[in-house]
Amino acid sequence: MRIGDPVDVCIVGCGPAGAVLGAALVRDGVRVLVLESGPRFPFSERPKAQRNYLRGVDPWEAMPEAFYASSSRGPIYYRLQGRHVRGVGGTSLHWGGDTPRFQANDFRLRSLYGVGDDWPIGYAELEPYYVLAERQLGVSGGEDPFASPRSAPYPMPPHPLNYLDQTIVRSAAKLGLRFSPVPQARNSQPYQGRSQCQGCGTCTVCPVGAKASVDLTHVPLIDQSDHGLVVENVTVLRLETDAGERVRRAVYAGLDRVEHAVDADVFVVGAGAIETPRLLLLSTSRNFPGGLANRSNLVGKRFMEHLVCGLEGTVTERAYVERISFNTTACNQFWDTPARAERSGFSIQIPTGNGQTPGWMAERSEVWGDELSRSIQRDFGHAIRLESPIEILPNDRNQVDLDPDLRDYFGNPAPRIYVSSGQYEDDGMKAAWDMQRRILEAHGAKAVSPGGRGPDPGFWSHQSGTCRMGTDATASVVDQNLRCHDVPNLYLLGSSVFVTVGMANPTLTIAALALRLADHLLANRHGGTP
Amino acid sequence: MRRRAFVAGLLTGTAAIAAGLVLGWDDLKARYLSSRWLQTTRGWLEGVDPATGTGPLSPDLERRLWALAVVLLPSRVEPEGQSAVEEHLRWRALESPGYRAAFSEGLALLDQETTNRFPEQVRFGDLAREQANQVLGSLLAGIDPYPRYRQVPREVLLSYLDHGRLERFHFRRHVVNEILHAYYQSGAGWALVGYEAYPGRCGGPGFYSRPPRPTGA
Repeated sequence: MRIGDPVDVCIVGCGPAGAVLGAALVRDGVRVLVLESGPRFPFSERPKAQRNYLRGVDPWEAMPEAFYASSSRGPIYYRLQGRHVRGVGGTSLHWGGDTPRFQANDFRLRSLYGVGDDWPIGYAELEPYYVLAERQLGVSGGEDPFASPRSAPYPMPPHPLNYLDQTIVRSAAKLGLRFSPVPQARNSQPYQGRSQCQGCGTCTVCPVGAKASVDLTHVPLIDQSDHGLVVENVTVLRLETDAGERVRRAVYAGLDRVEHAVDADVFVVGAGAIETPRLLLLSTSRNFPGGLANRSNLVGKRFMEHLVCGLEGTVTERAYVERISFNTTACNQFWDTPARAERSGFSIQIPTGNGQTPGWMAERSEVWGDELSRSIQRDFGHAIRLESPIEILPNDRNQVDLDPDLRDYFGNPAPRIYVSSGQYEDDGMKAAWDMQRRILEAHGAKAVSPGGRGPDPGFWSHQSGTCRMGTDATASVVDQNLRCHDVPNLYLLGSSVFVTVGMANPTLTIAALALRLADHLLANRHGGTP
Repeated sequence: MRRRAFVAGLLTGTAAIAAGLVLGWDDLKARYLSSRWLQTTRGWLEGVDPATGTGPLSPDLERRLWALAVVLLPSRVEPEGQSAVEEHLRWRALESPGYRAAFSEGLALLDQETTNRFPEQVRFGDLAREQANQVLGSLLAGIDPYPRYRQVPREVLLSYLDHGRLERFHFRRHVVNEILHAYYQSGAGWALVGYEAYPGRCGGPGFYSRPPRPTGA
């Protein structure tokens, strides 16, 4: 397929959403064009990317700086740069690879607990697609008594527990807590032509391809198809509609800023929870003066993230931190409990360290020479940390809109992000801190405190919401099939359609939704017009 | 000329601080990232001016950087540690705009302090270790070893009270820390704590489920 050939489905964004959908569609003969703002990152260049990463250079940030422009105006500062990736593979290039599913109750928060909202689909409906997504990405996992039921085992057994985790899990067991393997899109054995994890300690750049990223798992299927095409380094600037309410074409430009357009029968925007609403808000017309598909005035609203709060403590014995960079185990006992009616649930994670490597310690030291090397030998590895994700409930204050002043590379308004937390989230953090403190103290840790990062919560880079799914066209942007209520040939895909954010990392759910959307589009295609 | 540049820089820095106080430093940075004046100001604040570009280190610069490294690193440095530092400094000069000039300026400051304290010596590299430690101690005293980004304006403010402080801050940040980080993040640094596998050197499947061999401290 070449540029200019007829296109059935034009997908904006080649991350986990767009690539999984594109691969599923080309398999069934659909002519698919995927437009990606960033470049390709060839696998052969991973060693160089790994070296750059170790030197503190973001290897996935290859575009001119103005591509990453964004501003923050809420009470909690939100820096977007570094939290998503522009490139073929999208954020799966730099993600950690954790792939828990949402729990069944995450889809029914309003019905069960009277908070947040219900999704228009449930766990049972998504479960077969979770299975398929796990097979395609290659997920390693094990039994978790607190997870929702599965219809199929994980494709691979779990990774062995990190030595650090083994010691903490034993201490936590004294409190009656049970930790389980974290499901990982990271091979615990060779899988589909990709290597087993070699423990390289730089999961942000996996040099052996053991961590799934869709540039390895799905994009090749599009590339190898004679009716699929991924075009990199082109940014979709706006979607233009016909005289009615259908999208007629996507207008895009490369680094030379020269505009081109592509027509298609169906358009799918899967550009993440920041860029997806921004593209809609930039696509104004006579029929859609407030932005495409925005008659509900909800495009950009109800932005969600995972707050992350943690505690550190010091231990007498060296804890052997910083050996790998993925979590092997987590406690999901507090994810979904009756307390969720009053405060956020949480899980408890054991980070592989707190970033205090010998290099980190040296840069912050006031001594040098032999005295420095002795102090590192003495002090390294005695700080351990626990962390918990906290669910931010959807609310209209938290949102993404267009910055009136700041412009991107093309002169378009940059995204402006407002994020805040409320009592529900703050009480969730207090409960998580309390449990973290109990575990650390049971482990014999002293001087337990929020540590160098301070008491302010951080974020887990899981932008969600902003184009929520629902059955009511006045209270949501897309329907249960991800079709825009206002625009019959426009679908939105990715974490932007999430109604609530749960405690799960979003990528597996994004992939499952993509596979479900593929089935919907194919069914419509076989039955007539999409 | 240097004094005039300093005053001009302070004025620009003051404006940046004022705007920073109103908008928040990060927001200011994001909002006006692409404007040339802020890039210039940013370069001045941070001590790296991207406009000076990249390029290979001259043999003289390499030699002088290594003379500093000898004092900063442990008294016995294995070849692996030395090559890690040298390769990193070469890479930084070649790939990160402004760093080559920052190295040069930092070393000039070091030589200047050397002459101030030991008038008979011209270059830091000619000093005995004890003297070198005195010079470094003088330059680094009171300087935050690793200020976070939002603390940079504070350094500018303190420069009002302590002339030359900003140069010393830049020296710590862009010369000393580059050397220290390169060494301690290499295999030599990890070996100090008993790690044979570490970020960047794969340990093999599941190696992390066992403790390292007790070769470290």
